[in-house]
Amino acid sequence: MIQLCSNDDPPVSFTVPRKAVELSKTIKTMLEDLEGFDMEQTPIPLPNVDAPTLELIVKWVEQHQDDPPPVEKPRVEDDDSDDSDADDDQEPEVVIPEWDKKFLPTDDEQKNQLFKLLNAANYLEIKPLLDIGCKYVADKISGQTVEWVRDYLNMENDYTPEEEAKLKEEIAWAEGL
Amino acid sequence: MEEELGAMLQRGPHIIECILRTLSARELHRVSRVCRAWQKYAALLLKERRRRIVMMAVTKQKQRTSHAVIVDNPDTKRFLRDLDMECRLAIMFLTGPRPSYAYSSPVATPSLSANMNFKTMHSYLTSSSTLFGAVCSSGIIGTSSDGSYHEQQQSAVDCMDAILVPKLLPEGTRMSQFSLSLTRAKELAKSELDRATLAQTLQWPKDQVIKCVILVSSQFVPSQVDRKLLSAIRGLHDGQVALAGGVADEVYSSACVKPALVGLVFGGENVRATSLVIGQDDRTKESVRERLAELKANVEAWGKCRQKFGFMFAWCGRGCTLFEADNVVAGAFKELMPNIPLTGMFSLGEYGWDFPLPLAQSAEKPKSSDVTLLRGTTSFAVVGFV
Repeated sequence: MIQLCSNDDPPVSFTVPRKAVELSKTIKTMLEDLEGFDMEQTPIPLPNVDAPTLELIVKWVEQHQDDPPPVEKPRVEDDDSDDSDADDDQEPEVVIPEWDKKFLPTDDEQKNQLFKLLNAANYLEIKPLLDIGCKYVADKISGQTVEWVRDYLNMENDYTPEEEAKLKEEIAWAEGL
Repeated sequence: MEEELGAMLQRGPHIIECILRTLSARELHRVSRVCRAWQKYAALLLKERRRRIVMMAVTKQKQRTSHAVIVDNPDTKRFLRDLDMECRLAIMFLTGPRPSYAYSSPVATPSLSANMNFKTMHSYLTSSSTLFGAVCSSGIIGTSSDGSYHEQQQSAVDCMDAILVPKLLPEGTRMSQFSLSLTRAKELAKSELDRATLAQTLQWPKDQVIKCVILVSSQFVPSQVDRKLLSAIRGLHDGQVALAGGVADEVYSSACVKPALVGLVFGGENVRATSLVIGQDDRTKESVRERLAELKANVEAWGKCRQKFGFMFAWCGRGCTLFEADNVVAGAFKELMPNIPLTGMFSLGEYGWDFPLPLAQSAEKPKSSDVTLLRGTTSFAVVGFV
């Protein structure tokens, strides 16, 4: 078991099976680098993650610890594969599993929590979690007006009115849905 | 203390990228108005997607809403999503009952039901895109998204196949589409069809080399028009042009009210093209395979391509009645060139010639005078983007 510590004062610590914690590439690398130390006794501080977020992360990695590892794209060494776009590294469509749908903090008042979770997933390099979270946000914003997106994400509009008017005209074709 | 969400996103640009990555091209254009940072990411992602450009062919059979099926199938959706402005051109071959007025009145307007089909298909595409196609009562030929190749003949009603062409093609490749009304076509036949007029007719810049022409005409086009146009094309660049095409019952174009002739032109330094005509002598599967092997050899000589796609126009009698089995020719094509999507139709006459000519014959310069509409043949063209 590995101990993880949040950035709160005082830190909140969570004990997680090593297998689960290794879903985080960041921690996995760290553990590999520290091979030989008794990591069971040394809590790992996570300066960028607060307790509620860490709790979510721990919940997610424990749920997914037995998932098959993501398949590395097989390199097809086939004579006829020259057509099938060798440089086609398109990522597969992300599908959010049922459990994750319920897991993600999707209520509007939990918006900040959702993004903290994404930030943490990014920092800890938990790619599948980052993927489904981002997919959720992308689904949420597609089809919405630009104003809605700005408001939802608290993004500041840093265009001048002229620039925006020009841009609006250029992409008018994309608006009608 | 709650951190401002906007600020948090600014700090983690990777998250923005990750969110935007799953959006469609259309959405990406839309959300680039959110702020400068998003515009930057959206532009980068679009640029990345443009490098992987594909044309795709889809065939659907006997489904009431085939248009929706073509546009809505996951492959097509994904394809359209990756395009910058969705589709620029869709070419659709459609089967239908033989129009009743076919031999009485030379009105080159698709029958009501076919017209509806074209209109429906067009409604799935953006308004700036062009749709053209042909109604062929003799049948269509195409590749399904599952990779199988089909020849659908007479009995096939309401089958269609479509090729969708993205707005932006890879660097060094160029494509144009043209449609001609019957009146305009007849005028051309009477005129001196010089290089400049031809370029203008084909909507092609005069100073650019044409590599391949695909031609579909309606059956009402007089033979002197065919002859004139073909010899003008043959005369281009010393005959170094690939050609394939066929005659359909009717043709359709969203860019022209009553088209009699529609076509595609490919060219540019990164375009490769080859064409082949299988003649009346090739009446067995073996000899068809042998000829198609020539095509394959030409295609293989191009080396690595981003993309290849094929066109096939077969005389209406050169299907199961001749070979006594289904899908013989398309099947042979698939066997030899499994990764090249194929599209086309059964025709009432074919256009085409072998290009490049086998070495033995290339010494003789092709005579531009003896090109005319063929009958009883199967004509192929394969275009590649390197």
